This record gives sequence, structure tokens and C-alpha cells, in this order.
Amino acid sequence: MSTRVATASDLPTLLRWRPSARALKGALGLFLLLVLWQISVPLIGVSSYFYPSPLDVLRAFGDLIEKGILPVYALDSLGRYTAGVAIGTTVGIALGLLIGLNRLAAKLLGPLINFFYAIVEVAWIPLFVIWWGYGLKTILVALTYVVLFPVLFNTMTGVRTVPQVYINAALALGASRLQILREVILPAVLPNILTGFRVGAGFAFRGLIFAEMIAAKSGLGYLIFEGTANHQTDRTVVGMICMGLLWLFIDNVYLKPFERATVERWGQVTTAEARE
Amino acid sequence: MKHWGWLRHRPVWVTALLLLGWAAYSGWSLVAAGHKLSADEIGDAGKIHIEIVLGFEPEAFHITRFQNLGRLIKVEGRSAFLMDVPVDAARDLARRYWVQDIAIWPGLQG
Repeated sequence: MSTRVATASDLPTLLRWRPSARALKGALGLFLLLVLWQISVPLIGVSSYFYPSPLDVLRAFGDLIEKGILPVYALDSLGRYTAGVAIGTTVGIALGLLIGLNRLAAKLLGPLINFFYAIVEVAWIPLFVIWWGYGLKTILVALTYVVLFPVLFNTMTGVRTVPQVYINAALALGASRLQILREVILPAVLPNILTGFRVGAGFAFRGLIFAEMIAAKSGLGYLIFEGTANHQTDRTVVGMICMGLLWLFIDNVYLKPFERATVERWGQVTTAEARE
Repeated sequence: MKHWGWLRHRPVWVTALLLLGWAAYSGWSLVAAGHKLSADEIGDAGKIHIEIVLGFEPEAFHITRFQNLGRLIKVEGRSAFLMDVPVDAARDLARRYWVQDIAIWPGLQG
């Protein structure tokens, strides 16, 4: 009777999981940062209003969870972000295709787009508040404005850089304009659109926080603003940390895998790992 | 088995986990709400007067939400007293984990 020594590969995959060296280094870095922060509080010697300690922030975090405030604010921010990115991407793609494909549209809209691109979204928010008041509409318009430009410019560039030989080949085969758009231009432009989407999604998150600080009565941006106004600096820091965590979640769970599955696979972007 | 390969993608399984968590919380909150405000207490009324008991003193966040439900009459300690709250709104409020209890209140005339 033969015997075989059990090895690690016999374990179910879940039991074989180990954190990567990179993750461990990241966790160690974070731990060191927290320790330094806590040590610096008595050394600086000011009240927690000016410089809350990690423990103060942790207590405020627990307080906000217990009172149901943080989950509602985080979900409000996430909902606004998702809606704003969806609308801005749709409008950006539509305008980018129009300007890229139509010379008249490019001549009429191009200078206007460049003009408005220079005006940051924060400068528009007071006017949006006058037009639509505080609330969701103002925030969605602001987010759409932020997401629009990177998506539009990338889409437009993508359309203009489609190799003419592809279009000529399709024409030679008797393709109609609609078929050329659907079968040649759109597939060729897709990597540019996705790159624009990725950039726009990043800008949108920052824009969301600005918009909520000015024009909202809920959300993480509002929490940051409200904490300062109510002399609750620990809550302001909780808002800031939650912002960072929420962005890390969105980026690592949705945006990076999306980019890996599309743009990197199509060879438009190479990562450091891919180059090695 | 190959049709389940897409479950290994991070966006998919994370979203599935979040949805499962949300479903579990919704189920729990539904059961918990029944203990806070029972159908016997409500009866056939369309609108009720309630005392909302929290585990802490209400803040502006909670006051705003209460004002959207009905007429906020007073706040005493950890309790807020409302009149003319639609029954559905009261049931929905009972599902919030930060609401400790909801009692029927006779109102100002009581």
C-alpha cells in the first residue's frame, strides 16, 4: 500500500490564502502612521479641537455609527457619485463622438468646450445653488460637469485617431456610415472612452466632496463641513478618512479590475508588472 | 461549472457579498421593527402619535428626519415626541437600528 505525504496544495484554496508581502507592508506603514500620530498628540500639546488623536477619531467613528449618521452619509455620497459618473460619462461620450465625427460640430462646440473646461466646477456651484437650490440636482449637475471633460476629450481624441485605412477598408467593402460607426469607429474608440471614464471617475470623487460641502445637507463632504462648524474636529477627520477608504474601495474593487479587463488587455496601458 | 467562473472576479463577488449583507440587514431590521412597534399597538389608525426612544440624545441629523415624518412636538432627553405620523413612516422608522423603541403617545390632549 503506497502512502503519500499531504502537502499544502491539498488544502482548500481558502485555507491556503496568505496576505501578500505588499499588503503586509502597507498594513505596517499604516500602523506606524497611527503610532506616530498618537505619540505626536501629547508632544504638540494642544486641545483635541485643534489636533484630535487617533483614539478621539475612533471614538467619533463609533459614535457616528451608533447614531446611524455615518452609514446614511456614506450611502448618500456613494449614490450621488454613481449617478453623477453615469450621467457625465453618457453625456461625455455623446458629445465626444459628435465633435470627433462632425467638423461643423467641432468648429461650433470646440471653442466653447475649451472655454468651459477652464472654469472649475467649484466656481459653478454657487450659481447652481441659486438655480436649483441645495440638494441632489445641484450635486448631480456639478458631478456631470466634472466627469464630462475627461470623457469627452478622450472620446474625441479616440475618434480622430482611428486609422483612416480601417475606414477606407470598410467603405471599400460597401459599409454604410452607420455600419462604419458601429463596426469600426466605436470598437476602436472604446479604450479611449474607458481611459476617460477612469480619469473622470477619479475627478468626480473630489468634485463630490466639494459639492457636498457647499450644496448638501448629508454626505461625507457635509460631515467634514459640519464637523468643523460644530467644533467637532474629530468628526471632520472621520469624514476625511471615510472619503479615503471609500475611494480605495471604489478604485480597487471596481475601477482597477475594469481597467485590467479592458484597457490593459487591449494593450493601451502597461503596468509595471506587465513590463517585467 | 464554467458558467460560475465569472464569480471569481472581484467586482462580482464583492457586490454579491454586499447585496447579501444588505439582504441580511433588511431581514433583521424587519423582525426588530416588529418588536419596537407592533401591529396591535397601531391598530387601524392611519396616523399615530409616537414617542421615539433612542440610545442617545438626538442630534440635528435625527431631528431633521423626525420633522420630515410628522409634527415634532418636543424632545426630552433621549426621547422625541411626534404627532400625526403616517403608520408606514412609523414602521419604516422602527427599522432603523439606532431607534431603540417606539411607543404610542396620547399626544398633547392626552
